[in-house]
Amino acid sequence: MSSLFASILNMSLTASYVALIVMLIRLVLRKVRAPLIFSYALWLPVLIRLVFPFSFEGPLSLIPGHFVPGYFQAASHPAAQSESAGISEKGVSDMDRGAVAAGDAVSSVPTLIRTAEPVSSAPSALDLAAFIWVLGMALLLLHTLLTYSKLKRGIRFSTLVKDRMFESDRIATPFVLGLFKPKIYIPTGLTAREQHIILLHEQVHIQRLDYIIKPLAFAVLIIHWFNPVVWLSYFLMIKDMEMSCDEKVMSKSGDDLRADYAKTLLAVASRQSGLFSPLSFGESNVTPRVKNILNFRRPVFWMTAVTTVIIAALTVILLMNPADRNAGSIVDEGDTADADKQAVMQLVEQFGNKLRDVSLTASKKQVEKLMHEHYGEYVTQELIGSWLEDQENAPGRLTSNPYPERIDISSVEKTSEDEYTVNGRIMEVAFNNIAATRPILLKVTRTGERWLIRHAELGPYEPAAHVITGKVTGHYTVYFDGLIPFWDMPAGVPIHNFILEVNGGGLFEVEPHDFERYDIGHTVSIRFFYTDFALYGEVAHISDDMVVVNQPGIPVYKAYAVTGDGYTAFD
Amino acid sequence: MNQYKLFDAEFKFVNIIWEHEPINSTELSKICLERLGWKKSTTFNMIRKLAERGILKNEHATVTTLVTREQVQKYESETLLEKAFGGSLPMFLATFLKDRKLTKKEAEELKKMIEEATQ
Repeated sequence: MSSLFASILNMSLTASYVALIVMLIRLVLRKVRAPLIFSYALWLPVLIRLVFPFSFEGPLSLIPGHFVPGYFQAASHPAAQSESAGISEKGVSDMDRGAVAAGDAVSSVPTLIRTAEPVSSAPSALDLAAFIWVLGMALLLLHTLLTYSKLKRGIRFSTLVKDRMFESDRIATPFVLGLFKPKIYIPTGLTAREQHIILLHEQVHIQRLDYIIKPLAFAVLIIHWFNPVVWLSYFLMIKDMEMSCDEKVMSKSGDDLRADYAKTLLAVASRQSGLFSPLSFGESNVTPRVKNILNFRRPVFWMTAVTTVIIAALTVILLMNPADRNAGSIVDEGDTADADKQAVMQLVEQFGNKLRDVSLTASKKQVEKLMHEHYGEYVTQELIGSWLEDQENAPGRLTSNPYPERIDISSVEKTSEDEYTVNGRIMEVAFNNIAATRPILLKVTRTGERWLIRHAELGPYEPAAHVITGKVTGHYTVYFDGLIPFWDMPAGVPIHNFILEVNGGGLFEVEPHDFERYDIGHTVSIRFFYTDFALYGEVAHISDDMVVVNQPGIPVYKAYAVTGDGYTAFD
Repeated sequence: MNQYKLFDAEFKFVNIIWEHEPINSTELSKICLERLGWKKSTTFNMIRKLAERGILKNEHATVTTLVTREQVQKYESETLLEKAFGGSLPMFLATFLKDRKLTKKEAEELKKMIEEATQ
């Protein structure tokens, strides 16, 4: 449900952007007094954007890079996070990956909010939002069904006037209803002239299939009910639909209908309640419609022709996505047109995603097999050969945790016609936290039709800087309120104090009042209290579920119990 | 007597029965299809609805009315009189006669009716 909602959110966002552009174009069209059929037609790309998650790419897209579908993502698959942004619960990034890369000359750290996958299984904000979304849809649907059944009751015993026109004294305004055999319903007591004008109007609606388009658009509105831009679009679209229909009636008619038409409109001005209404002659936009009717002039042919072409082109452009799919990632957005560069970066990213699959601690034969299998597509045979000879300096996985999750690219430079030098960092991840990074320099060269990595230089591992820990689960982050079992310590053994070894940060002594011991089964477990001892002088803020660290703060990863006096339990 | 309150469709329908009664219900539904654009089920629903209100009777597939045209007309005009003219007959007549000339014959008839009513 959450992932469905996330894709709806993405569509809503992209469509909103398109809708705002459409609204601007509408203003221009009004200024030049173009027929309203064009304004009406312009809503088509908005409708398509609201319904279809995919579109085609083109160079003329008016959508800014970070508006491409994929902005929102259900945070359900940790590996996917590196590829695109997710939304964070509090809007606070749990792990600021941008800052990790900030050590390099990255000029365009993305402003998108990213989140680390919470390890806990608690429902995320997105789940909650998805629930509210479904609830809202259900309520709107119910409202619509009630309105519809009320309407149906009003026309149950409507009586035939002529053709497909029926009258009833239980309705206040004329409308068209029915998907397959649309019928026109009018209130009783209208004059023959009024009936005739309404018939003309509704016949245009029926010809243009408006009686299908309107409920369809309303269904889409129900799906996107949380988006005010969609509401505005819906009402503007209906207004355009009605006013263009008025214009069509008048341009079709041989004589000047304006006065009678406006009078009829006023006579049946809508008194309808409820959000959903079928196509009705007396829609609520009576005043602008009367004005429009009275100002009606027959459109000039050449102007209609030119506008048609322009609107058709605009429709296509509004459906286009930007050609650069990576525009939302760390890549410099200004440089998106360069296809080679894109190909190189994609290659490096794909290669980065394979690092975890090559376990360097396997047997030599096994490593060879793994490298060919996983790197073969991205790396020259020569480079794989040299890595096999010197496994110390080969990229891959050393431990199950942390493991190399991806390569974050910090710079891409064209060093010759057929070669790019890519600088980046291998991100080593443990339990969704970045445990360490390792600089990597790659030379990517054009080989026939494709690109291959021909040279690689690996830097030393660096402890992660600026790590803000994720949600504490007690499962792996030992410095908060979790039980740490000491398997080798029999129950009942006296413990006087604790020493924590902070990864790369030295040793700290834990005061007796900072921990609590539990003798569970055969062994001892320790629970730490919230304290800043382990991160001495580096803690900015502690709350129930997170500790924010200013300086390089490193998760505790070893804890020692000390029995007796002094530091006898470790050497 | 709300019983005589007929909506537009109901009035048209009862009108058909007044013209043809007693009438077979199948026969009636055929006329309704032609004149009102009603499906068979709509006609039968209407028969049931009006039978429940005591406007008509459906026995052995034969439909007859239980109210007369005069009763309905009386109810309608009284309602109108009450609603629009505060029950004042002279005011009603004054409005009605405002832009219209009566023929000699019509005037005679009215006079006669008034005399009868005041006796």
